[in-house]
Amino acid sequence: MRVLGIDTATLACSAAVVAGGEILAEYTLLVKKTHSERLLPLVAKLLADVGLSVADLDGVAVAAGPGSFTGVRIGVATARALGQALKLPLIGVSTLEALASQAGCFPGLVSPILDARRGQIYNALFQAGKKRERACPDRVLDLGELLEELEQRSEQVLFLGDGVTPHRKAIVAALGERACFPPAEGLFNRAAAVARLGQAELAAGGGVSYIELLPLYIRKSEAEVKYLARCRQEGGAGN
Amino acid sequence: MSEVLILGIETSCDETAAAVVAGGCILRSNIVASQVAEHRKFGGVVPEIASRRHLELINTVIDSALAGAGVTFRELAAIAVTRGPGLAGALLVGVNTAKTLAFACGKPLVAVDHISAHVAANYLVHEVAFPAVCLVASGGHTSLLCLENRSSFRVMGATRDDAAGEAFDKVARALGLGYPGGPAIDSCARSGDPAAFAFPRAFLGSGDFDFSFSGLKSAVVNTLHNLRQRGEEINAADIAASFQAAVVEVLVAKTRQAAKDTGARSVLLAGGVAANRLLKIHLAQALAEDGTAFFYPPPELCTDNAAMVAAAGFDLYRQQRFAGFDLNATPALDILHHE
Ligand SMILES: [Zn+2]
Repeated sequence: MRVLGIDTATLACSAAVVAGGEILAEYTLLVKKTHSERLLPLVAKLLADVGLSVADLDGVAVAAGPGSFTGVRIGVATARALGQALKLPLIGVSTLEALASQAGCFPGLVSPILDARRGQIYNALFQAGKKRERACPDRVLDLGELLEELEQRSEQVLFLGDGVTPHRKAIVAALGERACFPPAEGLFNRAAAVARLGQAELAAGGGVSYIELLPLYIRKSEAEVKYLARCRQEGGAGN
Repeated sequence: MSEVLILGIETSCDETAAAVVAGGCILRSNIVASQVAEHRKFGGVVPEIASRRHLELINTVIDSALAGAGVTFRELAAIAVTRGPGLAGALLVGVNTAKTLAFACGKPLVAVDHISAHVAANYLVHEVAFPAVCLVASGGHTSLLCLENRSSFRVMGATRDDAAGEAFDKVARALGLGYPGGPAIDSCARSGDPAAFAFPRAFLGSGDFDFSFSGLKSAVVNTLHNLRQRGEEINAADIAASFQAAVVEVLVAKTRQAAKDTGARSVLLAGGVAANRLLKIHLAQALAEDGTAFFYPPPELCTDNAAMVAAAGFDLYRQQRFAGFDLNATPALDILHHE
């Protein structure tokens, strides 16, 4: 089974192919250049370099969010179009889950954090264990809230994701020795993880059609948030 | 020879659209999923919400366009997509969908600018005699183009500030007539007196083909403000009619002059404002006096749609001007520097 994985939810523009559980290739760019220009040429080169054509694929896995709204849409739009043109099943993988799966057999808690702007982060917690169980759904919160929650616990915590670099000091200040960080190459989102998780889900009978695959934004658009707040206010005023 | 079938894709603003056009002028299908209702409560298009809806709708809309035309991806000659101008996030959905479909199906990709697409809406319904002058007026742009033929044009003039459609939207909001402003003003103005208020006609008689609508918009807003301060009753119909008359007078005069200066055999209207009733009546009268042919698309081809994108894409396809898989959206695409 051959699965293409793509991840454009963060700064990383990444594409990978797995075949029969083996990673054949992965290209990842960590440069500030629009994913819209880079992703498809990257996918085309990746497939050509491993001697595959799109017709050889059995499925496409995509990091469906959370992450940059625009970045997520570029990845999901690309996956949906591949699914539509090639009649392939698609797998939307949580960006945070894919990151957490890069932690391997770390014995403690795994806490991917992605920059969500406006002083917030996207985060989920994953328990130690053979099958890394989720401890909470994907969410958006202040770093302070997360650190408070983690201070109540006692395990080691591995942090990965693009939220680590800007927040490393604050994390260490709060958790001290309990805070762990992977080497630089383990910090960012990689399509190989997305493809691996996608393949596992496909092998287990998962996968959705191109119509069903939707982004996992977690957060509403700002206009909607303001609109709902206004409605609540007006409602509260006894309208 | 089998006919050249082009799939067009359009997501530049708040319409998610796909269409199939044969030979650059025969409409095979034309699907438009409008988000207007969803943006109404915000009083205008919210880019993030538009982008989200485009992604949810685009593939279904493409399926409907193919099914409506009775074709599959395999029979297409090329895939055409709007690359700009428009909302960045919205354009990106169409661009990435189109180029991935082109890649996966092994079809050439053509990148169309939205303004040329509006012009091309005319080719779907009329046999146009060239040279022609086209007035493109919508919420995002107002310009006068001189067309040598279907694929070569030069810009004679453009708005220096607000687009005509934008002025309609802003005045409609000031009058509390709702969104979108064009149809709202048009229908409110029907019972009004166009001579009730003397609003300014910017650049009329300036000798060039540029437009300016922000002064007119401000004049309307100031008039409303003064009336309210004096506690006078506001006759929205009179204001709408006077405002519309000012916009139409300038558009008609400049378009007519452009046609005379270029020796145009026909004049075309394009863009959402081309659906304006008064504009069509006055231009038709003026051009009939001059003996110039006058064409405009039906309302459903004036507002954003993908049939016009496919029609414009056909001309690029014929010239083999294909786009690469690194195609990006160009939100502020400047047609003056269009290659
Ligand atoms: Zn338009």
